[in-house]
Amino acid sequence: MKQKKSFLFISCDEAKHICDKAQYKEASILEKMKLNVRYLWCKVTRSYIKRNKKLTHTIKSSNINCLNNSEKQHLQKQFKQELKKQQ
Amino acid sequence: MPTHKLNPDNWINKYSDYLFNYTISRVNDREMAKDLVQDTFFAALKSMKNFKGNASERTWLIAILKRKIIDYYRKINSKKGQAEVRMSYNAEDNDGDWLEEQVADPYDKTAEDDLENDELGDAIFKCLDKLPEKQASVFRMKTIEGLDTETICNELNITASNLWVIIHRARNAMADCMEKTWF
Repeated sequence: MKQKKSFLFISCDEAKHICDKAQYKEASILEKMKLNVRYLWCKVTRSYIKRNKKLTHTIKSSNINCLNNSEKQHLQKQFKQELKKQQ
Repeated sequence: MPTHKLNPDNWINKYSDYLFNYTISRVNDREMAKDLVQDTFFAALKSMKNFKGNASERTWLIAILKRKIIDYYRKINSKKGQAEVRMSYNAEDNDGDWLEEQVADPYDKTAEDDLENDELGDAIFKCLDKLPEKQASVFRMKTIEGLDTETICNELNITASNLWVIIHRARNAMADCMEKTWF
């Protein structure tokens, strides 16, 4: 009986972790089920999910771009060489 | 009274993403955007003596980048102008109208959207600037670049559970910051 309870009922921290993973589509169906169960009765989880979804939506809608690590390292290297020339 | 100082050692870490995002939304060419950002940093190094300290580093760098983007468009427009000379007037129904003028301006529809996106991008990068370096780096790779967990863990030499802890903290801090500046 105890095992059954812990199977579907998760802690608030676990719910937040699953919610984070869900933002990147990395939560499994079972994890989403557990999150939904907690969502039904936990106010903290509900507000966390709402805020997290809002952040995901805002960043997606901004269409922002950034340099990847190798591009940044290359730029840094070129810049350091130029900086040395200036000094 | 000058209040801002230049610190070129931090420029790439602090401003390269912001400048790159600003550029790519205007030139739509990743390679060209990278070149323009690099040119901007080089030009900024050369004109450091002219910095009066009235504007922030970021504002000053953006001012240089804007000139670079204008120069880029001047260059390609001068080539385009040569091509346009060969185009003929569409004299059949609309006397004297250039073909170009009959096409709806594709930028007109999205002008407001672009402006809002610029401001939103600005707000996101400002919030990202406030995060500790590791959190910002993981958040950027996972959320903006869309890299998978394994790739990030290998690149940064961290475990998956460590990554999710960092992501959780970064998302919390970002949401707090965005609530103050945007939501």
